[in-house]
Amino acid sequence: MALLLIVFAPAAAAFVLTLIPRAARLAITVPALTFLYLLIGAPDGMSINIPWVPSVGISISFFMDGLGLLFALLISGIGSLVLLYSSAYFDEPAEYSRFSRYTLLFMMAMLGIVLSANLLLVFIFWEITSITSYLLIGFKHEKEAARDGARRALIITSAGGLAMMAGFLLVGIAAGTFELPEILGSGDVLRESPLYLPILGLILLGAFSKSAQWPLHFWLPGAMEAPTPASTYLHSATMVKAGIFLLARLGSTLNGTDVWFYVVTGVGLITFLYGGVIAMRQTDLKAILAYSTVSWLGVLVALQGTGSEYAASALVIGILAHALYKGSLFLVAGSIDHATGTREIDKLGQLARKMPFTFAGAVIAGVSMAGIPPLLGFLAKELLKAASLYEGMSGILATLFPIAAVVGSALTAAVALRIVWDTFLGSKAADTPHEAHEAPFSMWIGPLVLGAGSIILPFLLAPTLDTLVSKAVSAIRQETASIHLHLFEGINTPLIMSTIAILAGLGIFLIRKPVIAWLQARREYNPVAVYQWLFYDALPNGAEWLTHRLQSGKLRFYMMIAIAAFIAMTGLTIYAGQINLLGADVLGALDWEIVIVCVLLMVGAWAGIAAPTRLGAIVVLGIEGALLSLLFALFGAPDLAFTQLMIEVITLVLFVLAFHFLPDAFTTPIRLSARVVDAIIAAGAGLAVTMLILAARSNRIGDSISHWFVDNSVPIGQGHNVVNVILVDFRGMDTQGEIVVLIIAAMGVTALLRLRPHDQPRGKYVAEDTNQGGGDGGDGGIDQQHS
Amino acid sequence: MFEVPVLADLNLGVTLPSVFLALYATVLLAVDIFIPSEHKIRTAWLALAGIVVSFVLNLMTYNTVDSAFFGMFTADPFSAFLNIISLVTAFISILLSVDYLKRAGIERGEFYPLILFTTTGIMFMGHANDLIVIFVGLELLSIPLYVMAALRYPDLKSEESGIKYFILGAFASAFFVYGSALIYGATGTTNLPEIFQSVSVITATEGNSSMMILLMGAGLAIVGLGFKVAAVPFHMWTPDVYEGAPTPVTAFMSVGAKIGGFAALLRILIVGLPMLVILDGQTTAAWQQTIALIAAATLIIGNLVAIAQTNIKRMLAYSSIAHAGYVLMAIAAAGTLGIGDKAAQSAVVYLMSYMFTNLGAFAVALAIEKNDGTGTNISDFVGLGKSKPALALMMTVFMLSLTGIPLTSGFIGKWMVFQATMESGLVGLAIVGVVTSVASAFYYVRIIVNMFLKDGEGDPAAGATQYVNWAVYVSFAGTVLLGIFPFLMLNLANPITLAVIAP
Repeated sequence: MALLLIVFAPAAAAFVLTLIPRAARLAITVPALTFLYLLIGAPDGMSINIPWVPSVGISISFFMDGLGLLFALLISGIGSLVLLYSSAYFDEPAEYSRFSRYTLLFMMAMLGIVLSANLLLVFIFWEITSITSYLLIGFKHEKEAARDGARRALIITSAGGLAMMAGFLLVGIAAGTFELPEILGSGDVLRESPLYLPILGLILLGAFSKSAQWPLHFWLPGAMEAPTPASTYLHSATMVKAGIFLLARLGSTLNGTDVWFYVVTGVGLITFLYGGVIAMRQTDLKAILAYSTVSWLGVLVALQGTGSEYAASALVIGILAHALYKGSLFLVAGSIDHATGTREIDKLGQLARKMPFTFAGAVIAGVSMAGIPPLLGFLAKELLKAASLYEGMSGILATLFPIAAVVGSALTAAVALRIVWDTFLGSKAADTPHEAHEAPFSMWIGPLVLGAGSIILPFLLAPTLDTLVSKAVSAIRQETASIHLHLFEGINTPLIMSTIAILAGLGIFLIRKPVIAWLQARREYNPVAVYQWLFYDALPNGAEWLTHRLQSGKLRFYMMIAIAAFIAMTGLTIYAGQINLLGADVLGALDWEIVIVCVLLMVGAWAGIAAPTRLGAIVVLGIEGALLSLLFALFGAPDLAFTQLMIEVITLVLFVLAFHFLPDAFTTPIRLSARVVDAIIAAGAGLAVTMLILAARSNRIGDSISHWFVDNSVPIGQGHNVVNVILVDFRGMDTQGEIVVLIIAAMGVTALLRLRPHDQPRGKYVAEDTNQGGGDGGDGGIDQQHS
Repeated sequence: MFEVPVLADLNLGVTLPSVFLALYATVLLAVDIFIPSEHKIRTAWLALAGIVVSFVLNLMTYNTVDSAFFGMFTADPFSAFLNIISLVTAFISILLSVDYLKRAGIERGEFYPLILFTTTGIMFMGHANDLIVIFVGLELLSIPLYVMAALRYPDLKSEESGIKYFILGAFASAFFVYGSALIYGATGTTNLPEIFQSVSVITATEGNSSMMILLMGAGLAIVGLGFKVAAVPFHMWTPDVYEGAPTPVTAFMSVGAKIGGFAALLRILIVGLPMLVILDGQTTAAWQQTIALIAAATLIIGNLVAIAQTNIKRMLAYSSIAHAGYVLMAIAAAGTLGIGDKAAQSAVVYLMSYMFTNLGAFAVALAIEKNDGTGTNISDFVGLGKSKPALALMMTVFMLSLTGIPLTSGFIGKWMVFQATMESGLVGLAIVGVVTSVASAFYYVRIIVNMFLKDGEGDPAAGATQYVNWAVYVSFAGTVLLGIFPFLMLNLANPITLAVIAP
């Protein structure tokens, strides 16, 4: 029950706010109480399971383990601070209320993701975060940039979410359940499943898009159009970590393979370095923070490549430390923007004296970010380096990981120094739209509380943090872990690496001006273009091309394809079955008359093809029919021959009547290549039918029933004309039915003829509307042979 | 030597829901003559009443398992389930037609009996236990549809639609009959359970030459029915016909014709030919690979080409092709011994969820269509979220359901199909299914984006009359209710058993 309450209380609060907008200031109590409850009162191993569709294995179930607890604490804790902060950030009460509503809904979705015990619930909450984040990014919807950024974020993250759902479905199929505890306890089932690679690819796609991994990171900077409290909450502390969470959640069942290691570590490290470099060249405070967030998200992904215990602890501390210092810095950026009216770092400077509390918060956060002891950020960087030296790795990444860790940390340190120094200290004074002033209490308290966390937590390792980390690591690795962290472990390799990184960072900071100028002069490789090309160019155009190839609108093409399929099917079956085509004496009954008629038929067929006019072709067809009747007569079926002849005559007359209104010659020129294809298909169809007949004749089962009719015609039917007896006696009911059908048809025809409007000229049909478009993609895809 | 059948032997009681509808339609055709042309709505009401009666009759006999017409016709939960789908389809289609036909100036009384005839044909295909009955059902289903497709006379597109559908449909029927003849030639019977018996004899005999004839027959029957369900490469007619036909007819045939085709495929392949294996002792039927291949091609082509469409009717046409692919996945799964019943259940559940969702999508498309048949472009949806928020919201749900998002009926259908496919061992096909269904979001979500995220004057949706609204509500309720409480349809589908012998 408690779990349901934790997840859905924010939604309830949002609902209340819709009814009573003025209650916005009270909204903070919901996440604050949740935070306190989780911190002190929450029992271990809570879970709830409400069956929903048992036959399909879907249920509404939640559970809390160390990993869920870690994230739930972050979500509710930072959520409280963000709500407090935004009460002063928004000047309009109505805006504040609206913002609180969205934020509370988002909070529910986030808590849902981290506490769900069913993969489908995870997916549903995941997509709700995409939608609420869309609302928050587009909060200032009158700005076009905000709308664009919101749309791009929505498309990328929800498309990633769909890929993830596909992955979940495959997980459900492979593991036979969607329940996370069962999946986590399933051992190697997923790794050994034939679906492993598709599962991995789809889930990584979902995680990487949400957590802004290179090359899917580009939506995150665009999302910085959101109000700063939203950026703090979504794009730094929580939502972008949903992908990290997903990897951590499912890592124990998927990791350990080479593919996992190379993809996860590789992409993570690229993102780490890429984000750090790009962050250096930005000038907008929030853009700097955005790219440095991208960079650190890369670390958090890379750390999951090995699945070692070191890496898991580094991950937990890394998540915590980053949430504290980056959340703080975002809030600081918001305060500066609020106070001065600009976020351009070039225009800022020497704000320390005017905004002392904000400055204090920024310094703590910056120091933690730079990885300077004894703050939490230092511990995170130490653990990162320790994890990068993990011996279980092999291949080139084993060498690159430590190097990347040092280089990336150096970049992070440089960026941290730049943010703090160039805005609050520095040599030049601020040149801002407004005169800077200290932010109100509710805005500076947030950074300070987070900063306090960064300072105090490293000294509370044994009593608090160790327990939390142990629980979380146990959940991540699915085996009981007991972690004891130490701030200083003596002089060892990680410490040396950290020192080098800090010094290098300082060095980069000192020569930052030429470095930034050099970076800005370089052209940025921009994946947005690829995204644009793929989704707005390649895919639609490719699909359109395919449409035009397949969907010409020409009936004859459609029939050609169908006939080709028929030929292929017949041919393949006869070939595969080694079917005997010349079994019984199929050619035994050939007389010379029959051969002559057959040759004539073939000649006629050729003449029909070669005929230059429609009328000519029709006449040849008629001759073919007559020859066919002759063939029937030669085989001793005069009645059949007669019927055939009658039908031929009627068809011929109808044909001539119908084609009377069409131009006599075939006007549409057909290219030679098309004619060759036509010829092949026509010949194939003839061949296929011939083979079918041969096959049927060669593999006859049962006896012919004609003898029975001949033998019984006189004794039972009292008639000597066998055909007559069959028609009126043996099959009398059939004949009766046929007569009825004919009469009904005749009545129908009469009625139709009488229906003809009197003002319409006899025998002429005038098309009223001959210019018609349609077809695929808007242009004429329709056989325009009406005339 | 001949026993003259007594009427009681025909066991007509079992056939009540479908035979009643056929007779009712015949009578309605005559009654319609006496209904003045400005009151043709009465014919529509009478047709609806007939559907309701047939529906109730069907529910009353839901759990009956019996046969009629000397074993040619069978009634079981499978046919009863399909009857529900076909009758609801007809019901919603008539709701859509009433005002549309008037707007388009093509209101004619015989339209409604035609719908009832087609519905009877669909129901017959579900009941069929004999190749002959399937063929009769197929023709009864098709011929009224040819007429209805060309109803918008003298609109050239509509005429083209009718003639194309007719020619290719006749082609398909010919394939089917040829296939049936070959199956008969190999087994000596057209009765499906007897075919089953005969096939096991044939497969047990080494080097039996009937085998190849049987294979050819099955192949041709699949081709013939492949046309009806619009499976690649027999799907070519679909977009042209769907675009040209009057929209309610398109809605009706996009669901109805498919139900009939799939019912026949399931009956033939699961009842008649489940043991059609090339070598004795194999556990997968010889047709499984063929169907799997067709299914994969259908999924890929249908979903890919749908992306390029700018006309909503054409887009929904390709989408319906793609959805046929998912049902074909289930049919392919049925080729593995022991999966037959589960596959059949998943197929019909899929059809039911598809029915509600697809009819709803067509209903919304119809609501924004103009009187002259224009206004069917995807760009016409821009701004609908502002001008008609409720309609746009329901369209969103339909699009999400077609994509297969959880909490909509589309998800349940897809999930059942995927599960059956995996259980049958067709891993590759399952992956194709999952990936393409995610890719399909690309064109479904575009409608949502157009409705809500693009700036523009919204369409007033003049076609959203009361009848159309009711059609949308019913479809919406079906989509959401079955998505949230799937047991409603799963319980109905559970008793379905098609396989003659349990494995």
